[in-house]
Amino acid sequence: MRGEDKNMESEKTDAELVKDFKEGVRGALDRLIARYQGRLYAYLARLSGDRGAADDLTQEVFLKVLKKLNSYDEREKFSAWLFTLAHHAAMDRFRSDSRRREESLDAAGEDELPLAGTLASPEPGPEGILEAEERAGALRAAFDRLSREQREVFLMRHYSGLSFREIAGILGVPIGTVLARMSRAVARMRREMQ
Amino acid sequence: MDCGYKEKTILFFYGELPVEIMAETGRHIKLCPDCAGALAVLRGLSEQFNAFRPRVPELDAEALVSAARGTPLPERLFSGFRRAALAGAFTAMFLLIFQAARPGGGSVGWRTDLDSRLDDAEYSIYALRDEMVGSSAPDFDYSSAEIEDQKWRII
Repeated sequence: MRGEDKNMESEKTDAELVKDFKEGVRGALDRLIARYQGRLYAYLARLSGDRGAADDLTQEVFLKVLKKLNSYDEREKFSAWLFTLAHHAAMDRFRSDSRRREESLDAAGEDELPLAGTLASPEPGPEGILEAEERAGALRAAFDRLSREQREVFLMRHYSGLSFREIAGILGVPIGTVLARMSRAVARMRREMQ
Repeated sequence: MDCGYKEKTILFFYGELPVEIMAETGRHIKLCPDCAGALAVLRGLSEQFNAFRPRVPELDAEALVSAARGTPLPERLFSGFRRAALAGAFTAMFLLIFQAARPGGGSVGWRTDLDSRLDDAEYSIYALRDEMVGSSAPDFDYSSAEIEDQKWRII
């Protein structure tokens, strides 16, 4: 019975969890945080290139969620609202500390992406692994050299799961601009990897 | 050269193309080295993002709620509408004080010394009314005129 309840709880929509939290249901906020914390943190960490900043920003975004929850319209997608808050928090941070904008995750050894195997062929030999690592490293380096605006579109599309139209709404630009940023970024990364 | 499928390739990868264009775009990508290269970049990035699993800091929901409610008292009291109302009240108070302090300006009602003297005149009118019962018309006219004079001298 307890297990069934747990399953039912985990299947609740974001809007239902928000409603539960507003009505004082214990655990509703924990579930909402658990649902988005990982993706939000990864987005902020890759965008800022600084884990310390990502730690602070993640906490700041969830604090904003709590403070502004009364203004959240439950007909709106919670993920879109959450990533809007995250986008604004990150932009505020970059404006106030432009130095952090330029920092790279490469600076911290433990922050290295686990690249080995991510782009490997199905049955790689030693040479295949080496080649895959080189390609992955080149791709990561090319991505890190993109402008922040270009990187953000990739990261938001991947981690938020929102459509390009929704992302355009968050960024306050036409969908054509979002797609053009992606297209230019892809072309640039291809050039740099050749 | 632009093959015209650059953005469609991106939408194809993320599954945002309308069904009727999906197959056509897929066929194009197989034949177009540029679009195939773009798709490989998108796949490579997506795999890297999926592989990026950083240790996420622990967030305590109850601590967050406390922090959200723990806004300093002055900020809570004086935010939003309350702040605007308070600003209005201060402005009004400032204007009233300024008006009252102006030498010789504003309404006579704010000159407190005149208030007390007008009270005296008003009291005299009440006293005169009491005297009316037992007095003659000329007496009343005289007293009344005297009080009126007193009032106008004050104002």
